[in-house]
Amino acid sequence: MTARGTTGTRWVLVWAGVSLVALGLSMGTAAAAEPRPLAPLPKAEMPDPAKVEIGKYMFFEKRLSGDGDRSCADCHIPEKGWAFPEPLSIGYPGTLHYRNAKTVMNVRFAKYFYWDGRLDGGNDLPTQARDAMTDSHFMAADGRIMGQRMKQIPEYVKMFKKAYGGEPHFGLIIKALGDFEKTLVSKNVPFDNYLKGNKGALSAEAKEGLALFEGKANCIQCHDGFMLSDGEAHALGVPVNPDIFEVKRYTTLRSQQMFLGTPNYRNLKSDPGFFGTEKNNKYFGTFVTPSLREVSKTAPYMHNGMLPTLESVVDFYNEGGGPAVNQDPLIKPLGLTAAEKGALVEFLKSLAGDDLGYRTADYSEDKRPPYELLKWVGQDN
Amino acid sequence: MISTALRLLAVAAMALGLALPAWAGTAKPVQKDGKTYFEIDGELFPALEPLGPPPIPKDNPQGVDADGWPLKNDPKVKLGHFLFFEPALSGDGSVSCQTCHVQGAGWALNSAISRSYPGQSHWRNSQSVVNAAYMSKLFWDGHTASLETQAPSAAKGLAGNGKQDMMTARLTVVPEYVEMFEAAFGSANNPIHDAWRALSAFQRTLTSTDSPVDRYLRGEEDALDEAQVRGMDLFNGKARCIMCHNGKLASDEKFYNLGLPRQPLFSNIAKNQIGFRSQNYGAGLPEEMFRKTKSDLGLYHRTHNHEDAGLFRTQPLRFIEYTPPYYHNGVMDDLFEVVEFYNQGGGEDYILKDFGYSTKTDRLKELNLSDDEMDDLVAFLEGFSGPEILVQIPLLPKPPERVSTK
Repeated sequence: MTARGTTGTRWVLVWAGVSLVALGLSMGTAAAAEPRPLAPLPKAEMPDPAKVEIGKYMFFEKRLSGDGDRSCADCHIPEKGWAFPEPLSIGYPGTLHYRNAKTVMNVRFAKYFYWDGRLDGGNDLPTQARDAMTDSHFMAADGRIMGQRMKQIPEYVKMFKKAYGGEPHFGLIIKALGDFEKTLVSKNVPFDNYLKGNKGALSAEAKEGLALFEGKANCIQCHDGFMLSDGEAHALGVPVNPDIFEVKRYTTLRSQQMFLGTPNYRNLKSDPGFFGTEKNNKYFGTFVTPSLREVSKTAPYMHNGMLPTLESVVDFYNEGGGPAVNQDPLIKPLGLTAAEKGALVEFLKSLAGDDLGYRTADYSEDKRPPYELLKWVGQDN
Repeated sequence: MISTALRLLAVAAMALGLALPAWAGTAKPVQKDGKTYFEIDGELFPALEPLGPPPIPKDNPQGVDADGWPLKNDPKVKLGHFLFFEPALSGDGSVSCQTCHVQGAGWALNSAISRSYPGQSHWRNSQSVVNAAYMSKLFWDGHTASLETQAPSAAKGLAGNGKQDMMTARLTVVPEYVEMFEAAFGSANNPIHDAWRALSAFQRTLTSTDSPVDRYLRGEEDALDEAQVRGMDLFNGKARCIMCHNGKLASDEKFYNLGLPRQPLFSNIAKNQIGFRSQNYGAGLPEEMFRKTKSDLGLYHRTHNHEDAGLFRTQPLRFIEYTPPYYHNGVMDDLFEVVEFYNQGGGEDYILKDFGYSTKTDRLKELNLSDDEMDDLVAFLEGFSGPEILVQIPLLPKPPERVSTK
């Protein structure tokens, strides 16, 4: 697969009813496309604060998972860059994940959700929330039951009444989650401040890193635009994480690939990535380019967490990535000096904004509102 | 299980036209078209009969002996035996069939309301799986018609919260299970579908057919004592039990509202209320009913016919000694309470109270049974339970620490 110009390839597939000719043309002309310039995050409209407030509680609410022991925040930890600090994420009790948890910061701008791009982004955050909440390996929730659970927490009922004029139900829960996530946008980012004219916002070293990013290191080929991501799938040759063969992780991989209808799902020796979404061999082992915003807070890196630090990521690219069957031709040795590598890391650090101030401990079990009895309408309890 | 010889003897006796069993007492059997009935209120109800081998569906065959009894060494049965105890068949890998169908508790649960997965509560009483093989309406509202469809409903629903793909993957990473599926079904290509079939085959070996009542019905006159025989006469006549608890299964598998007391757990404990209300919500109750009802509406959940509100399927009676508490909401702790309840003509119709129309069955009337008669009836009901059925707890195959791909 090529680096650029694959924008719309999925839609070509859809529109043209899988016209391989169309696909070939689209792919063939793609390589030379010009990356979009880097830019500060756009101003984005913020949702109704009353709805955001509900979404915030829902984000930290473990009772929104089947057995009441997992919340969104368990894998998207605010103190860990809203991601998970281990190479591979955890999962619903009894399961473990086989991929690294991505940050939810700035997710409202994502083109696709998940490493394998299996959900369209485009601001449809409630759909992603529903997907994660009902998936067997994330929260395994039955939406009908979740609605009833929230109805028996009077504090929440009041909040829903105020924000939506009605009772909690699953549709509103995922909407509120989406509205909360819309507020998770980087704030006071040095790089953005620099682009807006504050030339002192970046150190000299970071500025040198920016020049490398756009020049010699050519990161911008895929990490372009204001999200520093083209939102497309590429193979880099990141080594397979041997831990995906741990039985609980591999079980999740097999379960999910079975669900996606991935060919040969029982014999996978590595994560098929975007192939599981598209079922086209070109995409085997490709993953959607992550945004680099907040990147210094979300170690370890790559879809399987195999690169522990930003330094190791830069080293990986400097060496031309690793062997991969569909490796992107843009990935090649860069010949960066130690100082250049340091500068690049310095630039990457300038992409993180202020801490938004959320603390997991504020939503711990002893602080959350309890279930209360509900009165029957028209008769005594 | 009764010995083959005894069964043959009984069959031979039938063939000779002997009056079997001895229907002693006041309730007089009526013969019609070669079958025995008891007449109550001008209607004929099939007499109790001993149980033979369970029916085996054509689309899930299993090995049987010469008399049609399922063989325990059938590969499907062996696999089903493992799977019955296998918590991989749930959402978080902690709930197996045995969690709610405990063999030491009559293959049911000795609590009013069954268990759900961790963090969630159930809303109905767990029923014994013993003799479930004979039933055509499973669950209290009869929402599945076979063991093969009952199993996934429980594993994926309020009991297990299992998801199809995860359960499938969990089975396929265990080489021993792959071998067992291959032995039982020829392949391990669709293990979750076949898991339900194997579980069904296993449950067809969990039959109780040698209770004192069965033996008596086969002609063993001393299988029931005098009190039990008197109780049986009441059962067939004055106490009107035979109207619903009839035929081979001691159940007509039809649906009735008895006016059972409400289960206070749904009004007194928030977590139980969540289980109860989520099921009402999931069944799509109209809003007014949903907000008002603190009683389980039973068959209405399936049909949404108003006349079905509060109706539950007649429970078979074999093995009941092991499975208190009783009824869909577990409100009766023992058989004495049950008999007293019927003696009073059942209870108040909560459908009438809540919604202004009655669905309570008119078969229930005050019975005017004396204390002695009620004791006799309980003694007879106890005669429906043969020896406890216990199986070996299997040593489950462990998943490998790591999956090797070839």
